[in-house]
Formats: sequence, structure tokens, C-alpha cells
Amino acid sequence: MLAIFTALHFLVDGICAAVMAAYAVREPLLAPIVYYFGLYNGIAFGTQWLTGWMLDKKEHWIRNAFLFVLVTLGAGTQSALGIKAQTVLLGLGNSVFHVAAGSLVLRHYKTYKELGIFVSSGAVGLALGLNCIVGPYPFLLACAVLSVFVTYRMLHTDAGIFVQTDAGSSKEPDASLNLFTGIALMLLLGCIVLRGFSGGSAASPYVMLFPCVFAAGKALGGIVCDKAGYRKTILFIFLLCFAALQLSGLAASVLLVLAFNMTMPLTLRLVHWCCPRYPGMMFGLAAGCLLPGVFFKGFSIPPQAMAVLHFLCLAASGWLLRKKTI
Amino acid sequence: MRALLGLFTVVLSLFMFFSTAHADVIDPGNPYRKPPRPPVKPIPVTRVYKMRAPDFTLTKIEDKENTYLLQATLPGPCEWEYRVFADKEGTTKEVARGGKFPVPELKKETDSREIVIQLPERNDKVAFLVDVEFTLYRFQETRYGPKVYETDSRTQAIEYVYELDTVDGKQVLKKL
Repeated sequence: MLAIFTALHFLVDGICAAVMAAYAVREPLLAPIVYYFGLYNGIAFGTQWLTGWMLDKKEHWIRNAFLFVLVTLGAGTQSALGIKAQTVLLGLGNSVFHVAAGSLVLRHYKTYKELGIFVSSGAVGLALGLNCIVGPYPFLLACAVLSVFVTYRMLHTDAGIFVQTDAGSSKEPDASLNLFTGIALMLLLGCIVLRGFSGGSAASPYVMLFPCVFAAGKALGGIVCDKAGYRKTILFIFLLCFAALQLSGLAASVLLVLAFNMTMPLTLRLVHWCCPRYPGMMFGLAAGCLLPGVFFKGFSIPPQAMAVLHFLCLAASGWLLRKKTI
Repeated sequence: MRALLGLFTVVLSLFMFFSTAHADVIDPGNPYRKPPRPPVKPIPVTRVYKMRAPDFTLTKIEDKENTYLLQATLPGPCEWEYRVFADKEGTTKEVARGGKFPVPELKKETDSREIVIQLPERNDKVAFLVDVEFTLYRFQETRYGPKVYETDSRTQAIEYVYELDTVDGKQVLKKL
């Protein structure tokens, strides 16, 4: 199922991006383009914590969530509805998909690799859609097939998808939200906010390079963390940033982007540990923290500050959460 | 106690880091250590697309009383408006106006717009001053092509005087 969720993530982000890009091509004025892209991001990222909380409360809704996503995204591709309705539908569909699939992956697996793989594919779909390389309908067609398959599996295999596997060692601390986990959560969300500001603004001449680096970084972060452990991984990321800062030009940018994105599965997993009973809401909270980076384009912090802050936040939150298990 | 001490260390190191990163110290060897300066709002690079010389014509519509057709040749994507003045009792008064009509589409071929205007009924010989103003849009290049950012600060105006006369009981409009 992880492969299907990863493919769906690619397709869902691709549909939304392709529809918004098609609107941007048609629209001659810059102001409405900026407004509707902002509205879409606001709904898609900003409502995930709420939809996540609802799906955590009503777990059985997840069974039909993928059909709901298909209907909203399918309707969202219809330009006859008007861009306002399209934006709301796409934002809502995207939000529901991310928390439904994200919470299932968080529940189903206990290691970092799967999270990294699941979140990695979105950036590539987004880039293909945003740059009008693939239109919305090829994405939608593939999404329809997979959504129907996932819904069928979820409705016909009662245990299959919700059972918690013992894949990997059970490292999850028995955390209930208290002072330590609260502080750890703040540090982790701060880390995600920072990562939001490291988005590929310099990526414009490289249409697909940086999205592929985003994807590779996210997947690699999870795989390295499973192999080497949390502490060694954050040290490795820090040293990778340090090495990147000694270089210049494209190589430095690629390495830095790779290193920053490697933190994503780590932060997601640890955010989930802060409140394990609400995987959907925690996934949504993490996604919502990317919004400041989307809206405040003018703000930037030096990369060495980003590297040190990432390291400090990850180290402190990892230590605080580990402390709970002792 | 150890946890609090650890937390205090983290917070303290964060504060120390920020004070170091934002220190107003010139460090020419380090391109990342820049003294803090007030942020300068970036001015987006924009351009106008002037495709052709603007012009307009005013013609009388046959079989319709006091009704005229204004045909404007647009210089490119722009906002345009028209005003018509007539001489009345020794003073020039505005008798019709319209706009601002937005035309944001970028067309390579000739782009023109037509509008039917009604002017007040006059039995005597009368001169109309027709003024058409064009304000080009400034475009910002995006990955989706050029998009309208704002209107240009300059406006181009064209004025022609037309005379409306009655010949053999028929109204005739002449450009002076």
C-alpha cells in the first residue's frame, strides 16, 4: 500500500498544480493569480490539522476519504465551475488526501523510511503540474484508478490497512502531551517552519532538478535514519550542511536543499510521537507549518543559521522525547 | 533538573547564535556574514508591450439619429477611455465619456475595439473634440508568460476635432 499511497501523493499534487497552472496560463492579470494560489495553499496546508483531527476522531471516515478526494479533485479540474470553486475543491481534496494517507502511513509503520518515501513524491508531481509538463487529466485518470483500488481494499479488507505492524523496532515513546513533549513539539514545528523558508526559490532555471532533489532528500533522510539511527542522522545532516557551505554555486545549493529535506521524515515521525493518538492532526500541523514559507517570500535566513537551528531543534526535541522513554 | 539544565543550554545557545549571526561586524571573508541593514523592498522587473501606434476614428452610423461608432486602434495591452467635448454657448462642455476599458490580452496582430456612443441632438453646425487616452499595462514575466502587474505611469492621449454639418437634410461628420 505504501507504493500506492506514494503514487497517489504524486498524482494528487500533480492534479492540483496542473489545474492551478492552467488557470495561471489563461489569466492575464498577476494579482488574481497570486490571490488564488495563496487561497489554494491556505486551504490545502492550513486546514490539514482540522481535517486530520476529524479523521482521527472518526477513523472509519478514512475508508471513504479517497473517493471523496477523487470527487473533489475531479470536480476541481472543471474550469466551468469558476476558479474560486475550483480552488476550494482542490484545496479541500488535497488537504483530505494528505491527512488520510499520511495518518495511515504514520499508524501503519513505525520507522522513518516509509514516511520519507511517502512524502517524497509530492514535489515531483507538483513540479510537473506547475510547469505545465503534464496536464491535469492524465494525473486524474491514474488517480481515479488508484483511488478506487485503495477504497476497494479498505472496504473489503477490514484488518489489512488499519492493523499496526511491528515493522522495525517499536521505538515510539509512550508519550502523552506534557511539558517536555510540548516543548519538543514547538521545536519540531519551528524546524519545519524554517525548512519552509529554504524552498527552492533559486530553482527557476532548473525546472525539475530541485523538485527531484527535494524528493531524494526526503526519501534518503528516512532510509539513513533507519540504518544509522536518529542521532547519527542529524549529525550527518549537520555535517552535510557544513560541507555544502564550503562549496559554491549549484553544487552547494543542491547539497543544502538535499540536507534540509532529509530532516522531513524525522520531524514528521517525532511530531507524531508528541501526540501518537492523533496522527492525522499531527501530520496536518506539520504541513501547516510550511505555510509561513509559502506566504513570506521576502524573509530568508542565512543557510548556516538554518543548518545550526535545524541541528539544535532536532537534537533538543529528539533528546526530550527520548527522555520520556527512560 | 538535568532536563531543565539541558533546555536552558539549548535556549541560551539559540540566543548566542542569533546575536552572533546578526552581529554588525564586517567579515569580508565570509559572504554569509552580512551586517544587518533595513530590508529593501525588491522592485519587480516589469515592461510595457507597445505593439503599434494608437489611433481612432469616429463615424456616424447611418439610419440612427445621434449615434456614432468610435473605433480605437490599441497600442498594445492597455486601459483606454474616451471623452467627447462640444461647444455650447461659448463654453466647451463634456457631452460623453466612457472607460476605463481594460484590455489586458497581449495580441501580436492588430487589436482594436469599437464602441457605439450617443451624442446630444444638435440642429446647428457643431464641432466635437474627441479625446481618447491609452494607458499601457506594465507586465511582469512569470513562468506562465507575461502577466499584468500594474498600469504604466504615462498616458498617451490623441485628440481629433470633428465637425457635424447638415447637407441636404442629412447629417455629415467630417474630420478637421
